[in-house]
Amino acid sequence: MAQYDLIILGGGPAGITAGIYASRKKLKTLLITKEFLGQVGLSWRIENYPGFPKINGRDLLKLFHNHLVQNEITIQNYEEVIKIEKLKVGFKLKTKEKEYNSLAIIIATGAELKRLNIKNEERFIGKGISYCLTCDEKAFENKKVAVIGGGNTGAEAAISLLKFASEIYLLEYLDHLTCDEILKEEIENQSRIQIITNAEVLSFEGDGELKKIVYQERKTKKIHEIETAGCFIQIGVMPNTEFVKGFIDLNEKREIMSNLKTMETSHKGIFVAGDVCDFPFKQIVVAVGQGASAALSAYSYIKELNN
Amino acid sequence: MTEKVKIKIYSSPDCSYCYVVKDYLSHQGIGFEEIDLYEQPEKRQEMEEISKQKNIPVLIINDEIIIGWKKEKIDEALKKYGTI
Ligand SMILES: Cc1cc2nc3c(=O)[nH]c(=O)nc-3n(C[C@H](O)[C@H](O)[C@H](O)COP(=O)(O)OP(=O)(O)OC[C@H]3O[C@@H](n4cnc5c(N)ncnc54)[C@H](O)[C@@H]3O)c2cc1C
Repeated sequence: MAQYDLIILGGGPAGITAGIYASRKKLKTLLITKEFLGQVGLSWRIENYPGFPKINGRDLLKLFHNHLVQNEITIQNYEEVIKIEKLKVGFKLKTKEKEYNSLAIIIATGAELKRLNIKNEERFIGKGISYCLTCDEKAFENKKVAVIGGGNTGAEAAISLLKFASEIYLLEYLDHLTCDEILKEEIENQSRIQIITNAEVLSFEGDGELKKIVYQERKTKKIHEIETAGCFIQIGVMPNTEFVKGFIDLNEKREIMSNLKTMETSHKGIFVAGDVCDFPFKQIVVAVGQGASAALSAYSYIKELNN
Repeated sequence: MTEKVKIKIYSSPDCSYCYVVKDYLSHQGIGFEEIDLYEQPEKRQEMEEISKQKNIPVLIINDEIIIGWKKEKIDEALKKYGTI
C-alpha cells in the first residue's frame, strides 16, 4: 500500500491550495477528489476573488488546477473517500476503490447544495426544478422562473436568469434578502425580478411538469401561489462530513470543528480547510487561505513527527 | 462487445456537470458523441422526449439514460456493456 506524508481530501479551492503548499514543502502528497468541481465549479459569476474582477467558477478552477499539476503531487481524481481510521502512527484512508496510508490528513471536502425537502420537490426535478443554474437556465427561455433563496447565490441566479426568463420571482424565507448590498441594489433596479420576502415555500404543484409554487406569507399566514415553469433552489449548502461522523468532532451544523490558528481538528494530525470547517464565512478566498494554513500546519506536524 | 456501445451526451457549454461527465468518459478513455444544445437548439425536444425531463447533462449509453453527474450509474452502465 502506498504511504504518503500527507493526503488531502477534496479538489476545490481549499484542497488545491493545500496541495500547492504541501508539494512546495516537498511533502510526499496525495490529493484525492470525487471530481474537480466542488461548489466553485458551479459558480457562474465570481466578482470578489482578487485579481479577477469577473470570472466564472469553472474558469477559475481550471486556473487553480493548472497551477496544482505543475507541482510534484499525486492526484487520484474520481475517487470518493468513505472512511478514515487511526493507525499506531498516522492514518488509513479508504475510498470506494482503494486504501492509502499517511502521516497526516487535510480534509477539504467542501459542501453540497441543500434541498428543501418539501412536497413534490423530488417529483419535479428535471420537470421544472433544478439546482444547477449553469446547466439548466436556458431551458426556461421566455418563461416565468422562480429562484428560492435570497443569499448571494440566489440573487446572482436571479440576475443571470434575466438573459433568458421573461419574469423572475425571488423568494426569501426571512424578511430581507441576505445577499451583498451590491447585488441587492442590482436586483431592486430590475423590473423583471419580483422579490417576495417572508415566504415559506410549502410545495410544488403541476401535472407532468411544474406549474405552481405554493408558499405561506410568514407574517399574515396567508397561502399564495405563483405560476412558474421553472424553479432554481439555492438555499445554501450542507458540509460533506458523513465519512467522519463519530470520528472527528462536528458542530450542530455538521461542520468540522477546528482550531482556527492551526486548522487542526479534534484529531491530532488531521487538519481541515474551506467550507467543510466551522468558520462562518464560506468564500473562495477564505477556503484558499485556510488551505494554505492547513498545509503549513501539517508540514510542522509531520516534521515534528519525523524528528 | 465494446464496439457496439453507443454513447451520446446532451450538453451545453455553460453546464458544469456536463464538463465533469465528459471529462470522466475521457479519463476512462471512452469516446462519445456530443450534442451541444446551444449549437443545436432543435435537439432539445429530442433530449426531453428521450429522457422525459428537461435537465442536462443527459448521457445515453446504448439504452441506459443517466441524468446529471452520477458516477456510480455511469460505471454500472459502462460495465454492463463491457466498456470498463
Ligand atoms: C452557486 C455558488 C456560487 C458561489 N459564488 C461565490 C462567489 O461569487 N465568491 C466566493 O468567494 N464564493 C462563492 N461561492 C462559495 C465558494 O464556491 C466556496 O466557498 C468554495 O468553493 C469552498 O471551497 P472548498 O474547497 O472548501 O469546497 P468545494 O468547492 O465544495 O470543493 C470540495 C471538493 O471536495 C470534493 N469531495 C467532496 N466529498 C468528497 C469525498 N468524500 N471524497 C473525495 N472528495 C470529496 C468535491 O468533489 C470537491 O472537489 C459560491 C458557491 C456556490 C454553490
